[in-house]
Amino acid sequence: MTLLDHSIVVVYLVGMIVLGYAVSRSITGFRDYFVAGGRMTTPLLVCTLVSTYYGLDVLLGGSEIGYLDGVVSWFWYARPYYVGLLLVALLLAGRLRERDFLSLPDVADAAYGKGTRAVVAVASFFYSLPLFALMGMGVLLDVAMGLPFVWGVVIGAAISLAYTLMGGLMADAFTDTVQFTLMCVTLGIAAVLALDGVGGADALPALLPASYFDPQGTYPTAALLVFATGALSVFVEPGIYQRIFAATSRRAIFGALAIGIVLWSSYDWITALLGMTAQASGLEVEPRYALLTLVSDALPPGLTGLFVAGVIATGMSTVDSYLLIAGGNLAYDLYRPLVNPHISDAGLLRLTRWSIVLACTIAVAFALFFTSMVSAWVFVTAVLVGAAFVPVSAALFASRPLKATAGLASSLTGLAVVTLVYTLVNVYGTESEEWGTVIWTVRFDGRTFDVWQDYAVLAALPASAIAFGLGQLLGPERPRGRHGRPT
Amino acid sequence: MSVLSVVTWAAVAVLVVGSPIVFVWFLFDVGKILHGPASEPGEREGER
Repeated sequence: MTLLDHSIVVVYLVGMIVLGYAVSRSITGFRDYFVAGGRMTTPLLVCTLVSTYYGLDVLLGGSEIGYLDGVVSWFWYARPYYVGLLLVALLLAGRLRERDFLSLPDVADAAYGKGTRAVVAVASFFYSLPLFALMGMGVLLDVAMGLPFVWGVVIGAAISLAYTLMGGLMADAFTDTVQFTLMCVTLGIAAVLALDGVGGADALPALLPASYFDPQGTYPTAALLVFATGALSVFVEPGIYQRIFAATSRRAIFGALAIGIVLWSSYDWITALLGMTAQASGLEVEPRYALLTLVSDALPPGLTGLFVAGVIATGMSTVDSYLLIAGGNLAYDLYRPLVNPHISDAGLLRLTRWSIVLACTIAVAFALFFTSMVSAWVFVTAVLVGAAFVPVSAALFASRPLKATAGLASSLTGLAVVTLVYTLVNVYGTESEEWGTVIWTVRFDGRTFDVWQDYAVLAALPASAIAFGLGQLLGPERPRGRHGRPT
Repeated sequence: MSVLSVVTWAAVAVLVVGSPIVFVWFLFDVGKILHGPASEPGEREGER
């Protein structure tokens, strides 16, 4: 990178802190801080939803699958998410806004009480630790600017932390607007230049095997099913919930999700195609970094700095949002209801800021400790879906009164099954270089079955549903309050 | 021009042109976002 490129990256990083500080002056209480006072309009929601939900995992992971297998990443990994997001816009957003919820565990609490709230809050906390984004920033600042990995992680975390601490969701969302534009525009320009290097998109079929253009690629059906099942996470995604609660109206969030789907699908397509372009141009690199290598070779000085700033933006927009949620899980979802229900608004705001610092410290420590977080990221997503999907969906759509036992049994069982499958596969299985995951080959009745660690969620969901049914059937009735509502 | 090429150019256009349009739309909303009334729980109930 040239001096111009470095200057662009530094100006971008300083600009984020200044913008965060400017917005922080409008914060007057916890509601302002955590859900931006419910003042987020459609364009702000588009920017913050798209940039938050798409981090370095999508950019690097999507291009990795594109590099290794082609368009399957768009058809089986990304496309189910658009269906899920459309259902969230049509069915979920309105229901969530009918009550005064501020977080995902609030929904569980209203239906089942504090036990299920605590389990869902813990699952949400671990899901929200932005480990992969922090590691990605460490690698990027190392590759692009020559900073040691540790410093890259710490600097990325410190800058995201600074403006999130100051201005909460509003500062996060305002910085997201810049980050959103930067990550979309730079990726689009990079795609044009990189594709030009191989003769355009039309030239790819002649340079790649036919399987690269097969929507199913070379994956086994069960693995494709796991890819698609990952889309269930949008129904319990804490970042999406927070933005639904922060919207000015149901119409604003519906419009934002509809526009977001168009942007997300474009972003996913270009990411996959850049991975394929890297393969077609004969790059022999670690698949995860194929896109970065291809693009940094294709872009001229100045644009390289802008692209690096765009990739940092992709990571930071995820880090800041999820640090806020993880801090909220500790202070608002766990401490306040379980330890000090009478904490003042100012006290809760102060405690949330300290909890964000704690969450950031834990995330940085984990990001520095582990060498590969990809499996850990899949694991925490499975934990969130396993613990929250069944009880929260039932809480929002069931027409009959629900029992506390059903919620607690369902969330604990989902959590336990995910943990059990991961543990068994990792103890008895072996790392597969071909598929990039751990696989346990089970022999039963003369036949062999390959159990991927990623299949955990396929076992957890039915187990969670059965536990829910049993809890609903056998559990005691919840005591009723003065107005007939369960207490 | 193949389907692959058309889809790819459409995606590039959405990213390069669409995202700045959303950003400009946001700039028009900044005053309303920072100084507009907060949506309170009662107002949310009223959406039904």
